[in-house]
Amino acid sequence: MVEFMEGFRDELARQWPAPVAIRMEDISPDAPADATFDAWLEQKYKNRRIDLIAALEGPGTKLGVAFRNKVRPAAPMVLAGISAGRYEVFRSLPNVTGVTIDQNVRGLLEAAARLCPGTKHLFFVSGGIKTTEEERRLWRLDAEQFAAAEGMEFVDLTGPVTFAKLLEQVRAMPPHSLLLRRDTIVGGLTRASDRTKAMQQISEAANGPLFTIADAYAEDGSNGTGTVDYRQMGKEVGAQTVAVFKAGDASAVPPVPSAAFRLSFDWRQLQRWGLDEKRLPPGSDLRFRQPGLWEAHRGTMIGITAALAVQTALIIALLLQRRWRIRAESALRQQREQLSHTLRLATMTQMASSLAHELNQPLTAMVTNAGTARRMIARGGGDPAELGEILQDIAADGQRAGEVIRGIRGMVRRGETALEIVTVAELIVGVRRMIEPEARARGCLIGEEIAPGLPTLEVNTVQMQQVLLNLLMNAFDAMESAGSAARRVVIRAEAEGDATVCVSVRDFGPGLPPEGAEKLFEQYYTTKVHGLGMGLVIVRSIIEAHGGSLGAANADGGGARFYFRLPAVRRVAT
Amino acid sequence: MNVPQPLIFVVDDDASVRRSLARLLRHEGYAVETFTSAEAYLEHPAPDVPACVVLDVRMPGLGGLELQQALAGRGRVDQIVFITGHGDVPMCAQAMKAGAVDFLPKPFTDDALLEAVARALARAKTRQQKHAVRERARARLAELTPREMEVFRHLIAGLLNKQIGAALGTAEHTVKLQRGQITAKLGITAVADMVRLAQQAGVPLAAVEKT
Repeated sequence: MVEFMEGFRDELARQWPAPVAIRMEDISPDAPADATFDAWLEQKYKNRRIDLIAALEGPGTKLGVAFRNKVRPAAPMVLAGISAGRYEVFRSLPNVTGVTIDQNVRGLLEAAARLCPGTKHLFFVSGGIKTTEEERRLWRLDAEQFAAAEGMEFVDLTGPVTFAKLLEQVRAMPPHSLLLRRDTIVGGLTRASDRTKAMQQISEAANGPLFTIADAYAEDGSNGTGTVDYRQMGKEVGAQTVAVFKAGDASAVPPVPSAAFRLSFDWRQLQRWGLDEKRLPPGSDLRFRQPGLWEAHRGTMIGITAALAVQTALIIALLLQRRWRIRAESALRQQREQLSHTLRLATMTQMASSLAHELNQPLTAMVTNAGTARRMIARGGGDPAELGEILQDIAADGQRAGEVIRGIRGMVRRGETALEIVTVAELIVGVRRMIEPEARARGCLIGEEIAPGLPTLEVNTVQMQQVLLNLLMNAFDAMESAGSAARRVVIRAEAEGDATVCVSVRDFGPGLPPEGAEKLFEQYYTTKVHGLGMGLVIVRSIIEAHGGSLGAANADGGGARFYFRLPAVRRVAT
Repeated sequence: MNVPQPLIFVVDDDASVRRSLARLLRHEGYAVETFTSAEAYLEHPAPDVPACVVLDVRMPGLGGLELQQALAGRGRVDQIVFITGHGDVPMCAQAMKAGAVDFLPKPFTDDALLEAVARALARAKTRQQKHAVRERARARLAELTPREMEVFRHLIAGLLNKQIGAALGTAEHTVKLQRGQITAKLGITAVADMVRLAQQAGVPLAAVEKT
């Protein structure tokens, strides 16, 4: 009834300029007629102004007519939601008009007949405790007349039967049968859900398709349900009411047929009975069609999908962009680490032989010492003091070997990208320890000129060590053919102002090639017979990644000087 | 008789290795002197007693092989046992060809080292002996005048006095006189002994053309 009232009010507000007070008395279909109720109504409205009485459907009509008789015989009345045939009964009453709706049964039956051609039997069931004998008779009349017109046998199953018996009856329907039901059946069931369930049982049991006339659509197993669009009806009644206000007398307003009748079909049931949906009357609803959500709402679906697609596309684009950027960044980082690793390995290969040698020294000493101790003992107990010394030496050499291995491991470990605060001195100490074996193997001397009080650096230690190692190895290579006196490398570090530290590696080799330093930085350019030549490219990229710059020049007194500047950081005093 | 104690030199830039080797060798009864670099060893004069050198190949500055060459250039015949952290075959071949006693990759067993050292010392001893003999022989031959030396050469070539005279353009009588001098100076009469002396001195035997 909410929909009816909405439609009714909207239409009144739309068409009638003055506000209209509406009182509604809702008579529940389940409530039996009650003398007490009538008296109460009478009392309520005895002294109130009533400009119009609108009565809705069968029960309402009955009550409305009786009420007007008792309380306000002069009030105009609009009878709504009854069939034209029914309306004829009241036509003779004064000051009455109506909004008739009589396609309910007829319309549904016509649709049903079209869907099920060759129907021979029309079974009818209706009623329930709320329907009056009168109602039942009228509805049945419509169905009966239709059946007669169509040449169908008409069978009324309505009656005081048990539910079980009813199920039996519908099961026993012969082929080419239709079952028409009006509203609820099965006396005693007061809850709508119970009634729906009961109907579903009937539908399942019936040996023919079920069609329903109902107040509201329910999924009760009906192939087709005729329902009333109450909002629409409310509008129609509102319009009729305004017409009566304007006319002053309801009899001057002819009754109008309603357009509120709706047919809704259940695709699933149609499938079950093999009924062709193409035979459905135009303008009816087809519900629960499986692929049909798309078809039925295609326009909306396309619109929504498009909108979603655009949105999704946008989102995806953003995600991809972000992911690409992250991936690009990480790819760049990975590449640099890869290069760094390659450099490390290349340096490693070059240093591997000298590192192996480095490892061999403590091992040799240990083996020799152990042999000596063995001999001492074999010759009749050694001097404990001497043996003690030997063991001490062995232990110390073992430690030394471990450190060499640690050094190798440190070089091969990948993936460090963290920055840390280090002093230039610390950096150089670490590098010297690593390059010592190579330097000795090549007979090169490493000198340091580190200015005191240098500001600290915030760098990736491993990468910076790589830089220095690379520059040193290049220096060694440059002095390959030089005499022993010339095999010197000087590492120099000084501050340039407060904010910059300049570190250089200077050798006493032949100096930079005549083409200048820039060629050296070209990827893969190498003057070495062995070695990658990639070193300087990586070095430069590491330095620049740290916000610094790399350069090279010939040094006074011969040789080349490779230098890099890095931004300095002041250690926060603790 | 005072047997000169064999002397072993250890040349390795690594302190642990030096220490351990010295300890082992001293325990075996050898006299050991250690050097931290090849240059330092080079500056040390050649020993009178039989000696050998345990020499590391890879060192900063002058390497082991270079030292070997340097010694040879100075005419020294030091017996070398090379030790190395590198198992380098070409290096090893080169060292052996140049007269090394052995080439031991590190880490070596004490047995292997001691055996190589013993061999080296034996070779050194032999060489020294040979050298002594040679020097003695040379010293003896140095007593001869050049003319006498020429006669001596022809004698060890197996020529008769007459033939020597003809070869040298002197009278047989002169040759006979010179031969007498040779015998007196060298204390040798038989040509066979002269030959042996010449061999000891390293004098080539086929010095003259036979006419």
